[in-house]
Amino acid sequence: MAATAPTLDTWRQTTHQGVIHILQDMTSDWETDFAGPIVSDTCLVSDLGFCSIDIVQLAIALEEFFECKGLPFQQLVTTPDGKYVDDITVGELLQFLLRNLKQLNPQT
Amino acid sequence: MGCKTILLGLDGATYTILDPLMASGDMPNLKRFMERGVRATLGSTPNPLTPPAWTTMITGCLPGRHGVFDFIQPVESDDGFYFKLTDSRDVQCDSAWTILSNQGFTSASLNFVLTFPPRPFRGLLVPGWVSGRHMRRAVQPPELFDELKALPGFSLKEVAWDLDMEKKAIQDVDPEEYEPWIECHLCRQQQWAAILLHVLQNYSCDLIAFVDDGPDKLQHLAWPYLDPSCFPREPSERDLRIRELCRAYFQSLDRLLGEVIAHAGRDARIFIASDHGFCGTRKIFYINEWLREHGYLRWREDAPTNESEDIAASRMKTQYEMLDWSATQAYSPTPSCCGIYIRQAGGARKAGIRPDTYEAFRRKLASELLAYRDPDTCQPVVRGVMFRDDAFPGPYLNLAPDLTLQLHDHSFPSVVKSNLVTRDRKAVTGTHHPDGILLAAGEGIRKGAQVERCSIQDVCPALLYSAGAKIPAGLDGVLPEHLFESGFLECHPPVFTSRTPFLTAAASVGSAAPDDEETADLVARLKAMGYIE
Repeated sequence: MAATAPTLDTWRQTTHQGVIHILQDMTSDWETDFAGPIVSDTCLVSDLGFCSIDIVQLAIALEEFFECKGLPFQQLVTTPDGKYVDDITVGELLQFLLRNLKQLNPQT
Repeated sequence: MGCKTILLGLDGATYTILDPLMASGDMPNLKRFMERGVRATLGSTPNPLTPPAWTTMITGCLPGRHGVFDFIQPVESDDGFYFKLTDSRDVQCDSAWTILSNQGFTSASLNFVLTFPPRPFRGLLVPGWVSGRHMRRAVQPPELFDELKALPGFSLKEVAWDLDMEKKAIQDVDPEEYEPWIECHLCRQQQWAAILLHVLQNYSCDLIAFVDDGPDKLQHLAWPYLDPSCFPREPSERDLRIRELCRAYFQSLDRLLGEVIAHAGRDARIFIASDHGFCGTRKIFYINEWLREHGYLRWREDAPTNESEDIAASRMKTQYEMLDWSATQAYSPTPSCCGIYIRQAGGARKAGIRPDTYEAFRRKLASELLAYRDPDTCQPVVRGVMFRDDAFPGPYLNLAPDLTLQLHDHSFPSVVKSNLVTRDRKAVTGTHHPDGILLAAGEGIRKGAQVERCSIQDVCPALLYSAGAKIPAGLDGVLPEHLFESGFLECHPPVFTSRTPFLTAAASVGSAAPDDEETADLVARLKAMGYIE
């Protein structure tokens, strides 16, 4: 039987699940107070306890998983006037990936 | 178990420190090892720095070909300036363990820089420079991590890389902190020693390669306590305690060597090598301030002036924010790159050098650097300036600084804003010297010989040859035959392979939409992990 071509929704869903998987795997043995589950509103710093080097490692893990080296993570961690953001939600991370991994759809 | 070939990498080890320690009886195993083997000076990479130097040692290729020049890579884009940390994906040549794996051999790579995220090879990997939270994902195969955690006394916190502790090697350490800081490195060394001995005793590998990074850290901070010529004539109680702790570190290292020799087996060949040497420095050269003084760089008005002995801002971003990019033609992003990047003008970028004047500009810059004299001593500050196409030939030379400097005392320049171009430090501190060490002993190695100098890129072919593997013909390094007995070479002539040392080009971000195959591949990987039905 011929495989059905993945739809845009499938791509968004699988990207979302990939991000959740990476975050769960990465933080599974961290000693934090976070009781989960990891959802779109979960904050990397205030909820999951990320520090700056953890964000670098997350960037590497995402690039490895999605097989895309050179994602512009500086856009995610800084504001337009060049200041560092205090925190990033999983939802913001997902939107960043959907925007930058591939230009799926100009309307996205 | 046993191992044919062992590389004990000692980060920053130098005969300047090791010879007195051997003479004083603090390192008897190293002394005996040297007496039954060969000793050579090992010339490092043009910028003798941990990431490019270790990468050259384990790939047999020079930085212009393997693509690693510094801990970070500066990037200038339409979004502005930023930097990225160098990682294993930036290494563009196969390591010795990958070359061996491709030929069916097994290796263990322990505590090497730029080995994370892991690249597949046949054997064991415990990467260096990985923080504790990420070590579980870094160790390969994954079950090895549980084995290590079960070792008596294992402490992930002590094994792992700690950025704040690393920074203290070069600045921000209060004298009161010296003793606990050295003790911390001693604990760390013993943790890694336990890992090495566990692998040596429980696995059969054709190559075990291990790095002890402590000598570099101690020598940066505690050089006056290690170099007998710098030690105070009338030492305080604390001076004496710090010196004893430094000696304890090297004594511990020597005991590890003794255990490795005992466990390695009679047929093993052991190589001891450092990525660079070390020496003392008392001067600070403020390279960006020099560029400002000569009209090539402008600080932002709100950039703070640093009057301490710091050579870098506390954060890279702070460093970039101090510069007025609209009026900066050339700059140095990090002390460790020991160089200057020249900005190219074009498009929207007004500041910078036009391509047609680039050659004249860099020659003028080099000439002015070489002519510069220390205002206090009237002596040259810069002893050499290398253009990148001379220092780093290869496909990745465009990632290198346009100019690489050799300062008169081998120090790293400061990149912060200062009201001086040169400054005397209050006390001598340690810095990298281009001459490291190479010792080797074992079957087929010459005995008791001081041999002519080798280059760091020659270590990889030596390891491959010792392990019985074919040597890729395209390496920059050559087999240092003078380490081996002529009879051994005749009986075991080196075999070469035409296989290229280069990796397949790394995947990069594309601009096209993902095709169905790519999306399906991602879906398949998530299904395989049980995340979607």
